[in-house]
Amino acid sequence: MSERRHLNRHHRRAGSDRMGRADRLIYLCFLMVVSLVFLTYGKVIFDIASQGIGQINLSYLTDAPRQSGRAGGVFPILVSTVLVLAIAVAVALPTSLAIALYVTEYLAQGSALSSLFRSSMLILASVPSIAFGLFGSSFFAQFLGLGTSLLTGGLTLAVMIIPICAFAFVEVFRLLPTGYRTGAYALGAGKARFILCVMIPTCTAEIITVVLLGTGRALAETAALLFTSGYSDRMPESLLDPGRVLSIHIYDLAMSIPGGDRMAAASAVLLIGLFLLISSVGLYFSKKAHP
Amino acid sequence: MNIISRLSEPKPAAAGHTAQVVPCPAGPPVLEARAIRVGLAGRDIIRDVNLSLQPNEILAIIGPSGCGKSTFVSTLNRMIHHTLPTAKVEGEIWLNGGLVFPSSASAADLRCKVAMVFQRPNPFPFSIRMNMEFALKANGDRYRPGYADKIEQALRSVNLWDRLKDRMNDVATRLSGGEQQRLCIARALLSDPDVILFDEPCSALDPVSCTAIETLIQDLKQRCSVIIVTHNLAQARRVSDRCAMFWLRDGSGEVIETGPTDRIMTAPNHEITRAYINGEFC
Repeated sequence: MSERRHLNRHHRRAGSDRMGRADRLIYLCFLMVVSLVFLTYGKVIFDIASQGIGQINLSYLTDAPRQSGRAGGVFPILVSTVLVLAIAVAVALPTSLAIALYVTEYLAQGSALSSLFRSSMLILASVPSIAFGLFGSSFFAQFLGLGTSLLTGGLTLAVMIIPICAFAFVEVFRLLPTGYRTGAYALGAGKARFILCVMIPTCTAEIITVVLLGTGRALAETAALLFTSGYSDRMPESLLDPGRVLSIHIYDLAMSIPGGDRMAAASAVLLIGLFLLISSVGLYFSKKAHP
Repeated sequence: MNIISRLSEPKPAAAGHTAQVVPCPAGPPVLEARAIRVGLAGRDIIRDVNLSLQPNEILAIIGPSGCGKSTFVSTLNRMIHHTLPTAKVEGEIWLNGGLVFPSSASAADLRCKVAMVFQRPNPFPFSIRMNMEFALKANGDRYRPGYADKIEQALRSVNLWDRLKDRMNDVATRLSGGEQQRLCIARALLSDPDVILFDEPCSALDPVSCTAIETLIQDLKQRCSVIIVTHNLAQARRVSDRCAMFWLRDGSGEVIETGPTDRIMTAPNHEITRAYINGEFC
């Protein structure tokens, strides 16, 4: 009897040892993948930073580019970038929120129309950005007569990020606890009051995160802006002027300007810094919304 | 008389929060459901349900899971359109002598007079004050200077004022489960409802909180009528004046017996009710 008990104990221990080895193996695999990814990204950031950070100083941020960008600064380019981004977010945020609210609150879940909306947004979110660039060029620039301008670029970016944001908003709103919805309606609230006073305030942090996701996508975009916002590195005087955004500036310096590599790296550092700044501000408000 | 004027008929003033035995007066029912049928995907969830609720009465709805108790209760204030949007509801619902279903009158107005408290406490993740103010605004109360008094009165009714008066800016979801449920009841009381529907209000709570809610339900009897759905027969015995037994027959929920709680618990007429009360289906 005691022998059998001893054997059982032995088998259990052997089993747990085997599991322990498997756990360690899986842990090491994950650690290896994570380290590899971090090292790769670290190398990319390090290379860009080591080349570009030395070029960045106050006059780089406040001067206009000279010698096709080989010298001078990036001030007009920063202004164009911020304007294009502001137009894109100002148009995309309310539009994608409206789409998501319509899909979640006004269409029956699982209905054919709701499924069609969701799958359309998913497909549009994966359309190559060059296709949006061509659309923006033919629709906003030519058909609406806005020409190659910051407005055309911003609107094109908005069209590009609306499906991404709308799809993410739908998922955010679907995850809202059912109790909030039933609680609000049971108190006599109408749909508008529920959306404005419960749904949006409750999801503020998630809404900010989705906007940051869209902003990051827009900030890094080059292909969609090639035909829409233009190459001009002059200071824009109105939204109907062409303007060069940072990503196009980097592309131009790296691909077309001999000796432009260092300045391209400096602009890349600036682009990363700009995104970090926007993300930090977004995360601050996101944390404030959900203390 | 139109629906809005019927909904706003004067009611007896609310008394203090000490429990007193209030006899159930016989007379016109405050709420009446006639021949209610709820169909979903070609199947009747409940059929031919006729129930009435007297003023200042507590009616317990008992029966096994899945026999349509919660579905029935959610038809009474048309919440079913949110919980089961594709359900087809037939029959009539009368409140204070006025037809409220079918009716073109606003469901929101109806819900102010037939309030509801759910199984799980569902305060919004805002401050206690904002939760209460939301209810007042949802009721169409635009007189903001009166909010503080109304909120204090409602929280006193659920015995929470002394505990929460200095914590009104705390996030409501950080309260204990029992406190959250009492806050939800206080929120529902702000519209001065004629009827409060409780859908298994204690099933997610510990016994101490459960006792507090039961005492509160009995206190509420002095200011309105109550329907409580419960699986807990002891709870039905403790709090209710009358019971309605739901049972699943041919896949649809039906009321098989109604009567005073004492009689239903001791000498039910229906064989199934007797077996259910005695736990013979366990």
